[in-house]
Amino acid sequence: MSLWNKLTAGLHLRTATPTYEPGEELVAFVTGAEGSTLLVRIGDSVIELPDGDPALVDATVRFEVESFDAGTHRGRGRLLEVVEEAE
Amino acid sequence: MTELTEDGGELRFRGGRLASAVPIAFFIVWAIVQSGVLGVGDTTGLVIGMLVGLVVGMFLVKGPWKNYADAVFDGMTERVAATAIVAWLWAGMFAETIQVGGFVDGLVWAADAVSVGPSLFPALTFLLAALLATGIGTGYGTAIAFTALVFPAGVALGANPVLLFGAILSGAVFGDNLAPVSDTTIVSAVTQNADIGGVVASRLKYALVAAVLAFAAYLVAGQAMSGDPVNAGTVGQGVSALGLVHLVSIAIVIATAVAGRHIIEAVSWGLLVSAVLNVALGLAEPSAMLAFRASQESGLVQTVDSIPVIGAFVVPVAPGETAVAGSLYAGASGFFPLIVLVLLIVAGAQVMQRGGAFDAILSFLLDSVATTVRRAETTMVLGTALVNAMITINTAAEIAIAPYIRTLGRRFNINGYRRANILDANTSALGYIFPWGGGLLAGYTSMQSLPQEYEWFTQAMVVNPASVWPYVFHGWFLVGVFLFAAWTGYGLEYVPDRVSEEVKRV
Repeated sequence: MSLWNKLTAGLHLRTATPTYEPGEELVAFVTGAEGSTLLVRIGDSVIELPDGDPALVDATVRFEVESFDAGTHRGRGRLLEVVEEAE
Repeated sequence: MTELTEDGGELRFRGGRLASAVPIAFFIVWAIVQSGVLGVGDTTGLVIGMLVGLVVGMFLVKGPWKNYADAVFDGMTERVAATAIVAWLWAGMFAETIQVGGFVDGLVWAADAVSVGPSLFPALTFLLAALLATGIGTGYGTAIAFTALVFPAGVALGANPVLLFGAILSGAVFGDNLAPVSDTTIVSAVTQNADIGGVVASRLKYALVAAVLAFAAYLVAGQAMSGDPVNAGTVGQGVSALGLVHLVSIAIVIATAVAGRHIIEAVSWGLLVSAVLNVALGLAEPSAMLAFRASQESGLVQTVDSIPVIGAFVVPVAPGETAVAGSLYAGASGFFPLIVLVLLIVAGAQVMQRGGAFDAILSFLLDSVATTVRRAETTMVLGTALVNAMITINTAAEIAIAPYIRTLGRRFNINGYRRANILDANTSALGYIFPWGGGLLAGYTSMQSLPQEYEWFTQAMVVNPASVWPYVFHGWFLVGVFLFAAWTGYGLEYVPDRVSEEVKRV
């Protein structure tokens, strides 16, 4: 990342409910779990990753967004890999 | 050391976890009554307040009191306290030594030469203090040096003392917040798993907004609050520019610190150069820097006094007036009460952590208040401010709250740079605003020696620590910018937006 990009990164008013497109790959923390569904909360948007291991809460994972409803700020995704285990 | 202290054993209190906050809470109430209500700015008085607080807290402990004593010991031996102490001692000696070398005279001469009047002086002081603090990475050192050196020059010109002290503290806040070599910057980056360079770069968009507003505020307030020049005798009338040679001493400290050397080494080099310049240019006698004021009736003293070089440090005096004196002595010894105070405060903080008051407060915030990302960020800002109000050495406060900021931020996938920025900005700001804050007390300690230093500097010009808080403009604007940022999402980045580079551990 260039110095200019580092200086200007985040120079915006970021929404509390970011939206994502199907097919997008994201890296984020798993922030919770409901049964075997992992929850990735980004701001006030939540992406569910079904059939996950609740031990992955707090781990950093890479996942693909499969669907996202911009109205309810909720979506579903598919776990691709565990980038870093929970501490 | 006992097994219990090694594994950081828990302490239980009558009245529950919150009761472990009693020593610190007692101290804060004492500080408010002593300095705020009664207007007594005596640091040793605060030491007694903290000591009594620690005694009171002990009576609330369930089980063996030894555990409590262990927590006190462990707190006092924490490295963060030593770091602050080192900064104070070295900066104190350095500032005092260039002060006896006529640096203040030089500054007054320069201000006069470029026609900086009392109204412009606070704004300019803010800029220069910010530059020095960003260069050397210690806001405490900057507060000490500027209060000893620039403060009397400004007061002599007629600048308002309270406003000027606020401007100095603002500069210290700026440097503590932004400097890559500042303790608080490093702690903020490392604890949030972000690289220091990236953290500093991402910090500018907040720091500069606050700094521009603060500069403008000092310009306006400087106009409104300036008075007439003081009849300052030697200062301000036909003063010598020669003392400005100590800009070289300061440049050496900045250059050495920026080159990555430890602050002990950087200031030691500056100290050495300033001493050499003082003697070589006739700015100060060796005995002005270090003097053994020994009895003139002793034959041995008279003999040593006549020895070349060594004799320059011996000053025969009447038998009842013997002492060690000079800028090294005065510069370091002025901080002794504050050093004892910081050791006791970190002890109180340790009790609070072991006793669970910290966990209790933060669990409440986490579970009940921070329910949306905007509210979570607001909680992070206010929580950091709250902890800094309780633990007045800002690096210690920052270390204590860092894990909670991390937990709370990650719960909303707020990225490491943003978390580090919220943590550091509010830590830097609050440490110089509260009357019992370490940075503020360091500057105040430095100020207390000024009436002895200058005949014209009256006791009335010494600023009460409790009166300066409204004027630390940069601190307030920084907190304001972060509250604005929390409410609007200004500068907010989520984890998927940008991954921080590998952490450079230090």
